[in-house]
Amino acid sequence: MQTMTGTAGKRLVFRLSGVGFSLAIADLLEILEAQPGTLDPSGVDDEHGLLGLVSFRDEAIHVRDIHGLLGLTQSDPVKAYLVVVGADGAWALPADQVEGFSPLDAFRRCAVPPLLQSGAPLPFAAIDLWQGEPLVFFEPMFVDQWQRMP
Amino acid sequence: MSAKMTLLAVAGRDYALPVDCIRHILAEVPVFPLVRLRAGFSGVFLFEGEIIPLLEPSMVPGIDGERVCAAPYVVICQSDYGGVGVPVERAVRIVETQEGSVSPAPPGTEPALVSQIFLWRGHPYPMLDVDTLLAQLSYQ
Repeated sequence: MQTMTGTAGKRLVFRLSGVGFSLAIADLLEILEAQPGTLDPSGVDDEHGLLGLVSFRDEAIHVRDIHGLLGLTQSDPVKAYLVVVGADGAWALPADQVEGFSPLDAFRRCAVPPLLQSGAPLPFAAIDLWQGEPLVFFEPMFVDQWQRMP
Repeated sequence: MSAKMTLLAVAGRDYALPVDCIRHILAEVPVFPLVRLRAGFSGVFLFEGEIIPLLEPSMVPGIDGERVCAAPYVVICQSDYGGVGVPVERAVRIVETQEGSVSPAPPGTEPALVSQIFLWRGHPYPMLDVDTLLAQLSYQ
């Protein structure tokens, strides 16, 4: 378990199936290292995209199939579960890779190109440039709202 | 009509593109995936700090998706919808438009999105209309 002490004013960079993401510290509650037994599969619910449960502060919270939700194919083993602040409370997502925290000034916020916005709604509203790489700015509440769109 | 025409190859097929709509040509561009990209785009790349979508070669009219391979060059086109990258196979050639001729594509000989042919030294180059192509994509 990694606590968020000393991370104020930073963002977490993580990857899912090779796609880079940035996450505001305000949206991150905890990083749980993926070890045997971390994921309790008893809560699996394919219909609702739930992979199981993890223990967070003496509570069991859902792990969502974020790869499936975002249209990614998971090929790498899960390295960690990120506990994030969702619209209806905490939930966790499996991350293939956690790059670590970077200070805010290491990121440059960019708008999503208009060409990419003219199709179906996207599960993100901004892109962060970090070390020459565009990262999807991951906002758990935004993803929750996007998922509920008809 | 642009004074110069760019001759390029996309997935083994020759095309012409008016120079006026080209912003830049890049070699070996790192392409980054994003999630839930709309159909027709394979990722994004960076150019002068700007994030530019890269067109899927198979979306170019007349391209057989099975022939598409990694493209060593990207032509950045300025469209009504913003910048867009078109992957091309080999270094482009820029010629004077007046050295050739532009004529309507014969009915049925080219995909629907190709309306004109640039004839240069006896070789027909279907003219890419990026704005029309992107407009078509927006309806998919």
